[in-house]
Amino acid sequence: MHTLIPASATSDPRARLRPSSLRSPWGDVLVQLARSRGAVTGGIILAVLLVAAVGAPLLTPYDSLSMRPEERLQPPNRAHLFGTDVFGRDLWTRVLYGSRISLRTGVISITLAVALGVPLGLTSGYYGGSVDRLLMRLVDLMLTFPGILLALVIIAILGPNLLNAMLAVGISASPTYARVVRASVLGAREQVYVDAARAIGCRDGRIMVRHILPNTVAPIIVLGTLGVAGAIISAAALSYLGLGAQPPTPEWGALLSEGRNYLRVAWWMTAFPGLAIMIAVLAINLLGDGLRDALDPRLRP
Amino acid sequence: MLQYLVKRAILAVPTMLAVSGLVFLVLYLVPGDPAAIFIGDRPATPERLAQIRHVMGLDRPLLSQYADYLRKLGRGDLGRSIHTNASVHSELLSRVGSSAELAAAAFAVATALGLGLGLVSALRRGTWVDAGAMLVALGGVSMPIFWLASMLIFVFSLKLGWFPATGFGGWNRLVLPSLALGFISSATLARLVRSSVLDILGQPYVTTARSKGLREPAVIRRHVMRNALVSIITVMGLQFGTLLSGAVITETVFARPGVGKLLVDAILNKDIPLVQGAVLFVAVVYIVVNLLVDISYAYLDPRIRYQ
Repeated sequence: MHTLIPASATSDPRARLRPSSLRSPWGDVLVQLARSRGAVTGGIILAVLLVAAVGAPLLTPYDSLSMRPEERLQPPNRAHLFGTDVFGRDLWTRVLYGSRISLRTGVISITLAVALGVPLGLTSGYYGGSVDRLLMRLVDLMLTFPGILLALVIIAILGPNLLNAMLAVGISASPTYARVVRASVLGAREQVYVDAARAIGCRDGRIMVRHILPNTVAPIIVLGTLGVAGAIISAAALSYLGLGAQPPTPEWGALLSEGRNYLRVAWWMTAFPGLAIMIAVLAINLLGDGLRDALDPRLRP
Repeated sequence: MLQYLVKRAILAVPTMLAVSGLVFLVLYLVPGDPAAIFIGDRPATPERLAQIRHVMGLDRPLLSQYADYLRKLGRGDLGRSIHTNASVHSELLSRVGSSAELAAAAFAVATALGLGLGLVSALRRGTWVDAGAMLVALGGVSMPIFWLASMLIFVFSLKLGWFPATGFGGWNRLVLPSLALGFISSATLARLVRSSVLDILGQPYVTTARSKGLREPAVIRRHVMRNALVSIITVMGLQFGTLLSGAVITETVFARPGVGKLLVDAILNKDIPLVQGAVLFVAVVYIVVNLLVDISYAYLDPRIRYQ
């Protein structure tokens, strides 16, 4: 498991200290991640995708929105790697720029879910009693709407667009985080160091943030990573249904939706955006599985 | 056992009330005047709006409106669709058959695939069979269902012409949607079956069963699977939620006239009463399924019954 210390190095006391300083909790996690083939693969693919998203203008001579009717519905060829759509837009360019939108949508949605769920779970677990009962009722109520149904309800209220889709996905993912944080808080609340903090006069807010919150970081990182993958799919699903990003935004789900009516004549309009979603989600899932094994093996299914 | 059943059923009542309350509030959360929402895009005089408000009871306190809403619910009255003016109740009824058929077929596919993949990979742990099965499962978790469904349509209806791409009725219109939905729903199940079977294979009673000379298939069936079933059924219950929301998308891709497609179309048409009815319907189905899952635990695991 741990780094072997070369016999020659043990004579030097400073060298002997070095491996233990490496063994900080985060150092350990990194070492374990680097050993997991899946996590490394996922991380590399994700890094490539992020570089491609940032460097999109360098990777294509075309614009993602400009139409060239004379080049419409071309199958994949040398000039158009992924073919062109019904307006003659280059699909490779659209998928490339779409990665900016889809990846950002996933991250923003889950950031929102964490921002809503963590304070909820923290308050609920820390104060207990009627506060806990009330908040957990609310969380349970949200969980009675399966899958994207809650997101659909929120879209029905707010109206269909990309921002509302992010809100909807974020809000409907938040109960999970509230639940998980609450469970960690319940364990941490009874620790001696919490009593100690209270004894020296710390206020509730400070105890929650400085002494209890760090206990919940590992499960949040694991769930959050896997959550981004789920959020990308959910947001793409909403866009596909016409309830998220609207044309001509090249969000991946919206691209699939555009390709829907041309499946017979232009399979590439459906195939490539879908593959992009799958590769991104697979990479994030692989990384998330690796993180879970490294950080919190109890979360294993 | 009966006492447990009754207790669980009673516990589901407040949940249903809360869900109905939330669905009731949707109309008031939509920006704009509910009366104006009800008449849709047609122009109306202020007098006409006031009249509608009065007829619908919108001028009364919210709580008395909710009580009214519940009373109507009790009679099965869910209001009228703004778009078609048909009763929401009859709109839902005409779509339930198609959705139920899809859910049942997809559930069967998901169970067969999930159990099969999970069991095979657990029993062949560490081999390429295991790696392959888990890669398929990971693919199922990562694949957007609307993409898989489109690709199935492309290959099997448009290119090979084996199955019709859209519509409802007859088994050949059911094959592609239930395969797509079933495969996506099986992935999580396969991963869980694998880990729970591996867990149980290490238990002393499995070693005992083997050492008394019981054949391996019998060990798997009687000792391993029976014990794995409780956690498997939990996940199948949870997966049913995934299946329901997957059905919303599947029905749209295959243009199947089901409750899911009804809901999506209602949202696009801003048909709020229809949205309310469809959401309430799906949520209630989900609550009832979870209730059935809880009851089946008690049946499978006597320890739960006597708690």
